[in-house]
Amino acid sequence: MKPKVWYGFFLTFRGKLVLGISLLGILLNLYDVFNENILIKNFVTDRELTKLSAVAQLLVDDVINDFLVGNQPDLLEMLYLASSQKDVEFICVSDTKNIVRYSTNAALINTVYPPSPNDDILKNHLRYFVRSFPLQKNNLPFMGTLHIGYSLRSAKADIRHALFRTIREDTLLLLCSILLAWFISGFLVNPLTEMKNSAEKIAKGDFTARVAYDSPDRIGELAQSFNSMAFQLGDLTQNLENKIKDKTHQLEESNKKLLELDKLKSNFVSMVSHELRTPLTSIIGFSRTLLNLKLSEEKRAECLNIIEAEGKRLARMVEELLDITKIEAGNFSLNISSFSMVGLFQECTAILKDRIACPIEFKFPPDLPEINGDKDRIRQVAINLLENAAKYSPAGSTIFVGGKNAGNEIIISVTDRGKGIDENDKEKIFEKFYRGRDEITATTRGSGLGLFIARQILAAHNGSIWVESESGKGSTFFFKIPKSILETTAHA
Amino acid sequence: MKQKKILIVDDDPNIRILLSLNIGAAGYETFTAENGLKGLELIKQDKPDLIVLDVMMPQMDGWEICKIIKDHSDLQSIKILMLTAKNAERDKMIGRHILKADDYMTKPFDITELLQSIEKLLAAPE
Repeated sequence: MKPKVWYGFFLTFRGKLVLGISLLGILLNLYDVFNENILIKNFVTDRELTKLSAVAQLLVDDVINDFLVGNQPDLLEMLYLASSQKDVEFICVSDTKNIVRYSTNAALINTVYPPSPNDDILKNHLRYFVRSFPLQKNNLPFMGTLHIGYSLRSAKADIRHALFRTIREDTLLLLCSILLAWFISGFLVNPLTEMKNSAEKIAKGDFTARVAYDSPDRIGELAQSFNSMAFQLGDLTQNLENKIKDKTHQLEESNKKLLELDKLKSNFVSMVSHELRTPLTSIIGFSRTLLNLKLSEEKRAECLNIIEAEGKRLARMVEELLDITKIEAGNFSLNISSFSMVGLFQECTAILKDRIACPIEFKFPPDLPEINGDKDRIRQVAINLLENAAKYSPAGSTIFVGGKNAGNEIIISVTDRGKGIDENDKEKIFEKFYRGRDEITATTRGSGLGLFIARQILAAHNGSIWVESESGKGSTFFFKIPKSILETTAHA
Repeated sequence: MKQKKILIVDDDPNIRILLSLNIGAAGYETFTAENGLKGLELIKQDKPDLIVLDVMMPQMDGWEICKIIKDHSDLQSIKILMLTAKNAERDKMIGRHILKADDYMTKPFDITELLQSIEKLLAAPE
């Protein structure tokens, strides 16, 4: 902030205070000097006039006596004696016609000298003034006038002296008051300076800055307001910093998650490309083999079967990848209807009749209720489980399908007599592209996506899927599904 | 001239059938392994002249086998043709330059090209 320019000078707050107080002091002093001047003048005037009157009173009687007697030499001697008094310039005596008869100043003799008016002695600028006293006593006739010329030198000197002293004292007082003003303003300005320094500290980010000024006045209130403001600022900033830290942390976390997702995504893409390449390699390779080599009818049939199976696998993989894309995009919607599990598994058997060689045996209880769900999706799960069971079963062994009530849910089980699943693989088989190894025949290989999709379908129904298995004795896949699924929870 | 022996290591049964059929028809003796461990066993036992090696396999992958062979003084002379569905440039670099595979082909591959490569590798002086 720019300081206010005041008549070309930069004045600090303290400077203004001192200047103000000084001006007040100067005004008071001027008034004092003026007042003193009048007092001194009055005093000196009175004093001088008193002195003069005293001299005159002594003289008037003697002059009248000598006048009456006609003792001229005595009269003159007396006049000279009186005129030798301090400040007496001259003394003369005039007769009734104002003609000077006797004078200590010879030049005045025989001149006309009218009585002097009784005006203010200090008004004239003369070196001296003249006071006239009539020569009259008791019942004697008026004989003339006594004129005394009185010097103003010492009076004026006295006045000057007194005035100088007054000015000197007042100047000293003024200086003292300015000095006092300087200290008082400092005392007043100090908390403000402290506040300024604290404000600068706060501006630089140090929110611990406080003003140590405790007084029940306005500046004290200001200091308190300042301190509470500083506290709140610090508090706010701390909060803000914490919030920023939190947000940054959250952002870092979500960024980490996004990076992980991105990594998963690119892993998925590279896995998909690998998985798609495998059947393509077979299809292209065997086609070229058939074109290049002269094979037996039996070998040709084998090659063509592989080409067909791999082609179908590819087609199914594309289908399932589309499903996965839907699941991961979050628009995996269910088409809810009411259906019976028994009916659904009978349909599956009909569909799979040509595809799997194993007999399927149902062990459903008679009171198994109908359920609400997406029939096509559940059928997809059932077919996947049955195909898997057949894939890992020794030829001709039976696949068992069971069902039971479990409160608001029903549980379906699909059991095979295969070699079972390793403990470590029990969760992994539900992951994308994870396949059980050592599959019986090449023609029944899956995409590695079936169980992953099955789990997503059941999750969308608020159900679940899991496997129980004993190594060497076979596996049982279970899925649990609520009897009634609410529309609102259908979009998982 | 003694018939050259070629080992095919791939976990995909179709690829094993495909390769044995074609490489056999080209006049080589072929035998197969469905995973890395069995492959390594056969390598030590039968000393093939060339291995067609898949990369992504359970238990032991193609990289590992390649490294073991190229680090083993007795087996170093065996030619290795890596065959993989991985076609990222980085993987090709690893196969060719770091693990010193003799050739590197990606799936889906061209059978004619594969046979040409085998012929070239086996004709090359030791």
